[in-house]
Amino acid sequence: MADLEVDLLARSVQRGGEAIDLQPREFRLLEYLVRHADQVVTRTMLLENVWDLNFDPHTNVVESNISRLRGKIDKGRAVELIHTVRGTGYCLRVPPR
Amino acid sequence: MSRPVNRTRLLRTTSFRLTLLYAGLTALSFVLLFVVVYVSTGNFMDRQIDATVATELAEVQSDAAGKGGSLAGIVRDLGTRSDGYFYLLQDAQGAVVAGNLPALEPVPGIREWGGPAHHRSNPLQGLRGRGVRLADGGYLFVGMSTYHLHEMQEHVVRVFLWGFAAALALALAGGTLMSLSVARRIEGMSQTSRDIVGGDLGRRIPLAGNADEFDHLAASLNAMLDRIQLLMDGLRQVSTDIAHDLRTPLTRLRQRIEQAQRRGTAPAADVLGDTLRDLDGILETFAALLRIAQIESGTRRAGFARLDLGEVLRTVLEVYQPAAEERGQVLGASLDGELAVRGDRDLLTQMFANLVENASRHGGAGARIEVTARPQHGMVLVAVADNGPGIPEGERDKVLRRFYRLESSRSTPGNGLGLSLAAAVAALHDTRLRLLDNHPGLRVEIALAPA
Repeated sequence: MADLEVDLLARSVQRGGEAIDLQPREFRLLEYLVRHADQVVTRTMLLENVWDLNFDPHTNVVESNISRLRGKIDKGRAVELIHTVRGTGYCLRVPPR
Repeated sequence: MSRPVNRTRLLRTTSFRLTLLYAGLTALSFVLLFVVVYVSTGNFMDRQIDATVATELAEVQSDAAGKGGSLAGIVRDLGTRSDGYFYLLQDAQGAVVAGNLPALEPVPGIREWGGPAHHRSNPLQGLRGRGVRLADGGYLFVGMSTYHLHEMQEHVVRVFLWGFAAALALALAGGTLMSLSVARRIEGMSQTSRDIVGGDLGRRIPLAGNADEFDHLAASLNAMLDRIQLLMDGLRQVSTDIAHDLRTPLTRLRQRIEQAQRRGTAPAADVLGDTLRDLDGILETFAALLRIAQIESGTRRAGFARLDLGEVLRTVLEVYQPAAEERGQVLGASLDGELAVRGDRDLLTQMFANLVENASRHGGAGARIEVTARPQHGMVLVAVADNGPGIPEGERDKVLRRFYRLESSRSTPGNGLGLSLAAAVAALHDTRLRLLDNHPGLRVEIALAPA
């Protein structure tokens, strides 16, 4: 997607040909976003599929992981891929020009 | 008080039927015993007579031979004085030569005549004896009266009849008494049941105090009734608590909507946001209640599987790390050894999440929260400890109840169900939460069975 490459088998991520080091949880988060690219994923979906939680712990664990992932994937790039959909969730997509 | 037991009801009781059955069996065995005794004593007496008569017959003949062949003289002599014995000597033509009996058909061997009755006046009507053919064609018979035998047999019959009647009467009377006492005990139980059905849940079956099987049954039933009442009270308590605890947020919600309506303008986004947050809180409380109910029903036990508790705890720690950091708390962990247990992953995750969340919420700013897990005494022991204000000893059991909150923590957010849910999950896993003093703070321990 754009210049983001995710190798699910090798569990490695590159953007613009540059390797990005992710924590296991961050990788699972990114993997889920990639698998649901161009769809809006809710906080509940992320908790359930990335953390295996079927209840809301009322902590900003999702937000802080998203923000760390943004810092590693999108920071300083011309095109941002992770978008916040206000009041609903997040979406990984290439923004229309 | 128990109702009197009437006659038709008594006849229908199991114990009375059993009594009748046993009375019948007793009578049958009595009759069998009688027949055996009657027949065997008769036979015994007959043999006794036969033996005596045979001896007498031989003696008479040998006496006659010794004294020079005067059989007629001896028989005549004996016939006049011998008491109990009867003699008869006939010649070849069948004429009576001597003796105290009338002429008989000269048949050799044992012969008996006369019935057991009607011979009191004439002993000759009951006679048993043995006859022999003599060398000269004559006939010699020696007999004994069967009067005593028949009298004894009659006596046996009389004794038997009286005994039979007495035994039957005793069996029936005893059975009736027994049935009455059993029926009274049973009636006491059904009366209690009817009272309970009628709404008096506090009623219990009275005990006789003699520790018999009825007392045992009554004690078991009473224990069951106690348990049912406890559950009913719990249910009532929960319903009241739900009504009470949900009234406050619902009232607040209503007021907010009312105020927005009074202003007459379209509600601002922040009012809607607050309203939604209130509604979410209420819905969450309901969800938690339903979840506790579902856990307590035990149906989740079917989904138990082997799982790594270390993984569960690491997820929980990760999820609550940001919240702890926000409050300036340190969330530490030490997970050692083999932490495989059998259980429900989702529920155990939720339980530990609730425990950590509880510690973080009530531990206060700057608290240190420590999660430890290690195998101990054949179990996997997990502890969640904080160094916050803790829970006074008298309150520790109460905080596991639904909606129960300490006075000091009324102002902190929460629905008072977190620890109840954790306790329900622990109970589902056949264990319980132990709330201990961490000097200072609270230490919650749980021992789970290893997989």
